[in-house]
Amino acid sequence: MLHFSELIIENFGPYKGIQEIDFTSKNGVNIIWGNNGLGKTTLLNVFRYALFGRVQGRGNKSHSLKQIANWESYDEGKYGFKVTLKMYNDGVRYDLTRQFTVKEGVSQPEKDNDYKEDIFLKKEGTILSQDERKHVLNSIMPEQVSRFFLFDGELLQEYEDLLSEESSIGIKIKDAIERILGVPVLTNGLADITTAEKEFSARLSKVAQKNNDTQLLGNLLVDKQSELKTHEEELETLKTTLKELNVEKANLEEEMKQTDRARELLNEKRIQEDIESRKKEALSSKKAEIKMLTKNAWQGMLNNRIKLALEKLEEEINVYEEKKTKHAVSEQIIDQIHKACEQGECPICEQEISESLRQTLKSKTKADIGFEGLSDEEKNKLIQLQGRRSQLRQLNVDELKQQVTSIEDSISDITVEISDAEQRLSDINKSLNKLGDTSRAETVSGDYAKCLEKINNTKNGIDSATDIITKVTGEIKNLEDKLKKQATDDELIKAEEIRDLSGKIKQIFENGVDLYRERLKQKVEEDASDIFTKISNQTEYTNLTINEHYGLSIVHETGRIVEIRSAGYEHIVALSLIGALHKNAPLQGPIIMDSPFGRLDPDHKRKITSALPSLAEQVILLVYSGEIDEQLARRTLGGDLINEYILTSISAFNTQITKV
Amino acid sequence: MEGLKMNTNSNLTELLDALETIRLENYPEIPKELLEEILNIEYEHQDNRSEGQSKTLKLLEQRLNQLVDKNNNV
Repeated sequence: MLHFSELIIENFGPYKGIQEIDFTSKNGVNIIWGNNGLGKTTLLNVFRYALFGRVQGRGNKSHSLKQIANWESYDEGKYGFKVTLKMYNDGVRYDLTRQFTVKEGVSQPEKDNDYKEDIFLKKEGTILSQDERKHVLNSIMPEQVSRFFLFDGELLQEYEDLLSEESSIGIKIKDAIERILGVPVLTNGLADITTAEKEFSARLSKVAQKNNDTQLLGNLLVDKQSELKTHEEELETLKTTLKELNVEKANLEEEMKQTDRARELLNEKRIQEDIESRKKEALSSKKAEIKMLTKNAWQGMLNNRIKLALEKLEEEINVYEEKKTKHAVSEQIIDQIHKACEQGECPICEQEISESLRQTLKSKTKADIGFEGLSDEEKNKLIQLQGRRSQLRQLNVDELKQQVTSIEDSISDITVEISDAEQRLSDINKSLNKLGDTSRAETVSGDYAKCLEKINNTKNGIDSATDIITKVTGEIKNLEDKLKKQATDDELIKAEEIRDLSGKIKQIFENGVDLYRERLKQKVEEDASDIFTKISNQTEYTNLTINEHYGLSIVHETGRIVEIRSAGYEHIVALSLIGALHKNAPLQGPIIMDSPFGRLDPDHKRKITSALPSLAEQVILLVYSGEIDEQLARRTLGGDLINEYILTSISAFNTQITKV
Repeated sequence: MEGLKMNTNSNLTELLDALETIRLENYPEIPKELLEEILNIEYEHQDNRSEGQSKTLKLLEQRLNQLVDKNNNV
């Protein structure tokens, strides 16, 4: 069990000079009160720096170490910083010191390179070697599981990613959870026993080769084992590639998040540029149209004269057309009369026509009735007049006016649209300039798509390789079974038995891993549910259920899963998971929580405060007054509250830690 | 964790428990102590895999030879 007893800070962040926090050797809760900007989160970084040599900024980004040194001390010529963390692990005392000091020959450090870092780990007063130090620190608190000990309330979103199978962060956290729960002890064991089994298998083949009766089988086995080894190496390479690609994918996802805004703006810019270009084209076209039309605008001046000319023409044409029509009609009538005379019957009333009437009609139709048709000259004249009329009609200026007005309206509209597009483009360009270099925004999504494709191809490769390995392993098993039947030699029999036994041990570990995972998940689910129901106010939420990736979902009393949960309940579920992991992990140590209460209501805060001692044996809480009620916290925790400190601002870059 | 052995760590006991369940059910001829020894090596060498592997291999070689000899002498 790891326990922090004392922390000594020198010129780190806002902590000027040498300042100490004594956590004592007692188990319980330590509260450090500090309002915003005084250095609570920096305290989390103090632990992080001591244990892992790095500090973290907002959004999980690493910080340059030079920036961490206290500014006032820097101005006074005191450069660098130092942290000493005193702790006990299973009763053994360790003093870990990490310091960042100026290199020899540097009078005023400007960058990280002007500093050097020294690390010392003492075990019961004796300084350990570099290798021993690394081994101890990695055993005490491996960095991969630090998120479960150094709990940052701002990074709770990551735990929601456990619910998603494809999330890169989710995969990372799942690996970290299995690490803290001791699963690698079994999986490493399985890997090593598998290697041992292969070694024994290879020895068996060599022994078989030595014997005449089994030489052929031995040779075949050697070949198959060599083939298997090649495929396994290929599979390992592919798995390593897949891991690297997943890391690349996570990095690209982060880049895409960061360049989201730039991409949005660039897309908008493309759209507006397209609009602007099309509108300008349309404007040109309209202007050309109007130019064509207004070529004939002079005709407007002759409008009245054209009207008069048309009227006169219409009159003249009407005269000829009337004459033509009258002649046509009278011809028709005469034709009807001739037919009646021939048939001796009226074609309309069908009355008989007498001979004398016929003669009368014949003589009348021969006489000049005054409805002559147009003479040739008149016909030509009519054609001329109609042609002229047609030409004059084309010069209809009223229609021309309407067309020009319509086009002018369109030009106005388009001009406004172009202005709008130009204004939007100007705004977009201003926003883009503020973002700085946006070239990556254009390329990152292409890179992401390529990465996904590579991941897919690699996964297919892994599937293929796995299939081949299964096949070849089966072939090896068949050969070994045959060998077993044929073995008479003592050495061969012994080699077979050893190989057999190693195979059985491998099976024990293989099935053992699955069984352990199942049991673990069950226990984590039970313990997390237990913590959850103590903290949650909602009695209808009866328990939590765990998925393959240790993601926890809330179960309603009806059995339904609560799919969407509030930020507050995200907090509660994450805290329940952390408490459950601490309870089940082989690595036991303190939890340091920075602002774990987030958006929780007072009632939930009180319940979480009350549950703190059950989450871990040593809890260090970094909160601002008002985040939880001080008096209530003291009353709720009672004897479990070991220590209280307060951060006081002396100046913007000087915070003092004082015991309450 | 440095210095920890199976009988003082409840979580390692749980690891062994899972293996023991499988062993008892399917492979009782494999000694429990051998599994315990492997687990201890793996626990101690989580941060040094090559050493862990080498020690596991040596252990298996030694113990399995002993076991086969013992079985054949019975």
